[in-house]
This record gives sequence, C-alpha cells and structure tokens, in this order.
Amino acid sequence: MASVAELKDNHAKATAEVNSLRERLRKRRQMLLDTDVERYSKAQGRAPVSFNPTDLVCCRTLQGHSGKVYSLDWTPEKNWIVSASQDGRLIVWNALTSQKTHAIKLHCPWVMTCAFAPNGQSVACGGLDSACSIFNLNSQADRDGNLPVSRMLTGHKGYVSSCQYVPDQETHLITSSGDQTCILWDVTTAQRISIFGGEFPSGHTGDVLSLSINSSNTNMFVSGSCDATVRLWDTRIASRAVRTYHGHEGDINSVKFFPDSQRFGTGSDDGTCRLFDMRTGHQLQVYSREPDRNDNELPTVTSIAFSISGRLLFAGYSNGDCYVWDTLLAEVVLNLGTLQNSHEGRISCLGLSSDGSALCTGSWDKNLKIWAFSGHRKIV
Amino acid sequence: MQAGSGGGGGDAGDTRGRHRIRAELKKLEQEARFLEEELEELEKTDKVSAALQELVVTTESKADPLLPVTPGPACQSWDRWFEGPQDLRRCKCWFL
Repeated sequence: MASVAELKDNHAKATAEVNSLRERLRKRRQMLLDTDVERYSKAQGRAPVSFNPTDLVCCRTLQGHSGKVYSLDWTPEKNWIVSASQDGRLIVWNALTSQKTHAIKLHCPWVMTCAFAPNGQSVACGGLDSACSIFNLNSQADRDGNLPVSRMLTGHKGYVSSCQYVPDQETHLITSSGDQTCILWDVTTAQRISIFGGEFPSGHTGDVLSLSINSSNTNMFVSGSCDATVRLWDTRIASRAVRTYHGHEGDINSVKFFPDSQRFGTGSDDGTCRLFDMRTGHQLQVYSREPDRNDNELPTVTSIAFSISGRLLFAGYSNGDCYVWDTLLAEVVLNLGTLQNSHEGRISCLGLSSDGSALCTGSWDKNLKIWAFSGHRKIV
Repeated sequence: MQAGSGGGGGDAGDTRGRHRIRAELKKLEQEARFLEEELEELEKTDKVSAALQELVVTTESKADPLLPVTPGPACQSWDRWFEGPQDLRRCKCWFL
C-alpha cells in the first residue's frame, strides 16, 4: 500500500500536471483569438446604434415594495412581472396597468431570487433559507391573507442565489446555490433530479450566483460563479460540466444566453461584461467601462439582459448606472441611470418582456421601472 | 508525517490522511483527463473570426422594438406601453 508520503508526492505531481495543462489550454486559446466582435464589426463597416435623448423612456414606475428589490422575472406571455424584495415579499404586477395582483409574504424574508412558471400560474423564490419555495397564484389565501407554499424544494446546503423554470416545462426548475452546485428539480414531487457540481470534478469551486437556460435546447444551461468561471451543463449528464469558460477576474453575478442561443453574456465584479461562444468556448468580446476620472473603484456589474435581437446589452452597475451597450461595436449608446425619471439607487436586476418591447429594471430604491421605445422607429 | 505503517495511535490518523489524499488525487487525475480532452478538442476548433459573420448577420436581421432602426415586421403591440391611460381606477397602490 502506498505510504502517505508517496501519496503526497503523487498529489504534488498531479497538481503540477493539471496546472501545466491549464496553461497550455490558455495559450492555445489565446492563439485562436485573432479578432473580436468589435474589431470585426468595425472592419465590416457596421453602422452604430444611435439614440435620440428621448427614444428610450421610463413609461411605468411600479411602487409597492418597502425594501430593496433584488430580483424580477416576466411571464413568457401576458405582461406580468414577479419581483422579490428585502421586505420579505414577492409582488406580482400587471406591468401594463401597474396593478398589483398578488403580494406574497415569505416565511424567510431573506429572498434573493424569483421566477415565473412558463404558464404564469406559479412563482418560485429562494434565498438564505437554502430552499426554493413554490406558490400557486390560484390557491386560496389563508386567514391572514397569505398565500400558502405549495412546494418547498429543500436539499441545497447553501443559499439559493438564482432559480429558473425550464422553458415549456412547468414541472422542472433549476436552482443555483452558495453550496457550489446547481440542482434540477421535479417541482411536482419536490425531488432532486440531478445535482451539477459538488462531489464531481469539473464542478464550480465557488458559490454559484447565476444561471441561464438555453431556450433553443433546454437540456443545456450555463452557470456563473464566484470562482470567476462560467460552466456549461447538459441536464442529461450531471457528472461533468460540458465546458468551462475562463476570462473574468471576479465573481460572475449575472449570466444570460444571447438570443441566438449559441452565445451567452456575463456580468462580473471585475466591472466588465463579456460575450462567449458556447460551442467553441471562445471569449468573443469584453465590454469594459472607461476608468473613472477620479480613480474611484470600478463599479461592478450586477445584472445583464440582451434585447431581443441581441444588438443591445443592458448592464446594471453597482453605482446606479445602467449602460446600454451596442454589442457589435462595443460602445455605450445610452445610460438609463442618468435619464429623466431614473432610479435613485443601484439597479440590481433587469429583464426583457417576451416580445422584447419593454425592459424592466429593479432597484435598491425599492421600485421597478418599465422602459420602452417612444421615438420614431425606422423599419428597413 | 511518518512514512510506512506506523504503530499505536498514529494508525487511525494515517488512514484518514491516506483516504483523503487518495480521493483528492483521484479528482486531480480526472481533471487532468478532462483538460487533455479539451486540449484535443481545441486543436480542431476554428479561430474566433470564423464564428463572427453568423453572429453579425443574425443580430442585424432580427426585428427589435427597442432599436431606432430595425428590420421588420413591426408589431402594433410594441407600442402598447404608450397607448391609452393606465387603468388607475383599479390600481390599488399601497405600501407594504
């Protein structure tokens, strides 16, 4: 039997081999980065996006939360939004009329994420209780006027940072957690179907903060983590990540698939957003802010969303900015944070309506706002 | 730590240490195999530029209600956010 000393020696050699392979991968990938989206698009002479000052306006302010808004999600159809707040409640809004249709008091007020079921009949939320709670919006309120929990998804060993229903599958939901794993759940039985990461190699080595499911191939999803990587998972193969994406230098707070489902965007504590190619693993573009003139610390990216074509990338930052990036030319074309009637605090969450006609932003100022295009639209 | 099989109370500690190191070693060996596979796959992968034409074309060909210049077809419901008054009578604005 190998002695402990021999095992330690083998361990050191294996560590050195892994580090060497990682370095070779990094160098090989660097050689394949012959251009990026910005240089390619400019060489092709693509016309920039140009907004007039009153093109994108705040057309609704949804007031009702008494604490910071942390998360929001639209229904796939209709104009409903669910939001989660530090006040320990979920609110369901009709975004068109600004009407509140439900206010759900949560058992655990430390909520971090919420999501709408594909049929719009249920909402899910999770947070520091390490569980994901499901509420059926059609169920009867109790004597205190509170909606009962219809299912509790328990099993994570850390906080639930993000949750998303699998598109077109009312019964499946994926969560990400501070325990470094993601879980695919059967909502009907409240059972874990698969665990991604944790015991197996190729899992995240830090808290998982965000996830995004591929709408064209719902077996695939990506997760962003405090280990500064994004990992691609196939829900049918939980034992290993399909691919790991390197580049960021800080926690990845937000990850979203690009509308063509072949790429995804990220937002990080390193202050940048990035665009990655899912299939090849290439980093296609970095979206970096100009450094602050006063040399203040670079604001972090809290949340991102793409417009329905992918031409615009909306990015919320910790200093209250909400940049609108032209994704092809890598230029900031608007800052919603400085427009009239904008939020008075950090924008913590963003989401597009399903037809792409409206952006909803949620903020630490306790409000949600709806933004839409009110200018002259030229159809080509 | 002493090499080889120790005597007395050192045995339990050695066994636990051995198990732990062996498990970590297994993980490292598995990770090395994954990295080698990835390196092989990368040898057959195209450069970044190969994927960009498709990206630019698909991005510019999709109708987008938030763009000032966009391909069609436009949809009337895009402008529903600016049509008619909000239903303020039924809006029960309250603070929690």
